[in-house]
Amino acid sequence: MASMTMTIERVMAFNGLDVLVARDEGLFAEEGLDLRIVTLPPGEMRSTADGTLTRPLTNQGRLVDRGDAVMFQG
Amino acid sequence: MIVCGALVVSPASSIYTPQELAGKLVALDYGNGTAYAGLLMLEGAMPREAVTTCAATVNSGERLAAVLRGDFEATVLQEPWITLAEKAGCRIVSSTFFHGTWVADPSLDSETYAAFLRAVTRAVRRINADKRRYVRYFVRDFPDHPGVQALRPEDFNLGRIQLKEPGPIPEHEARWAWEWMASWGLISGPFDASMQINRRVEERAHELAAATLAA
Repeated sequence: MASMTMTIERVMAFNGLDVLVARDEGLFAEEGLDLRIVTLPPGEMRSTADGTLTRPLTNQGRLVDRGDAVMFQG
Repeated sequence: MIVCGALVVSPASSIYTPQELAGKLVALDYGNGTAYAGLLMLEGAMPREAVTTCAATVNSGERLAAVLRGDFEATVLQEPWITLAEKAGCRIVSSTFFHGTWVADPSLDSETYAAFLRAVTRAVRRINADKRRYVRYFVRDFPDHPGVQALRPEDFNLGRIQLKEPGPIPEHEARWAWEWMASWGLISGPFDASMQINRRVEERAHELAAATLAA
């Protein structure tokens, strides 16, 4: 039974293979951690193509900023 | 997790080295680590004023398709798109590795982070013991792309898939990254380690994780 909960922003294999394997193979559960992975709704995604070098439009960290996750990979 | 980024040009390109990208348009998904890896690779090959980039989608498959169409000269890709690009005849003119760094909300406590670190460390050990077994994850991320779905485990260069057990952020590396980003105008102000890294939470979490993993 998990005694801790943690919500992180979505990762993919290229930047989070270790997290995905840990989740799928029950390693977080073995640690008593209920790890939840959340994604921005498609309608809220901003296109990086609309940003500039010094004013980028990234989606990283937006769920953390609004309190829906506690960690993201930058 | 260590991320591999590769500067890729189309099979028809006359570019063979990163230096030859001086003044050529390179598409980057600004705001993401891959884009900054691209800037670093370009900056290492030419004067900064010769670095020529444009904003592009975060969708690596679309960037690869645009390179193949000739919309721009090069872009930076990660896996599985590097492998797919190579199968399409594209050339890698430079590649690099960088840490994916976790950014946490101040509410995260040491005990929860330690549990996360222990699970990730065990996963890193499993993957490193048999990388080929796990490359299917790179394919799984893109169920709607026929090219990616056609990749086989043996297509992947395992040297580009690097995993390291998590550890504290070295302050000098954080400072270098900050100062480099500030030099491009991406952030402003002096580097202050105490504002960027909560050493109390970080160190305690790593101590807790290490103690259990060693037991």
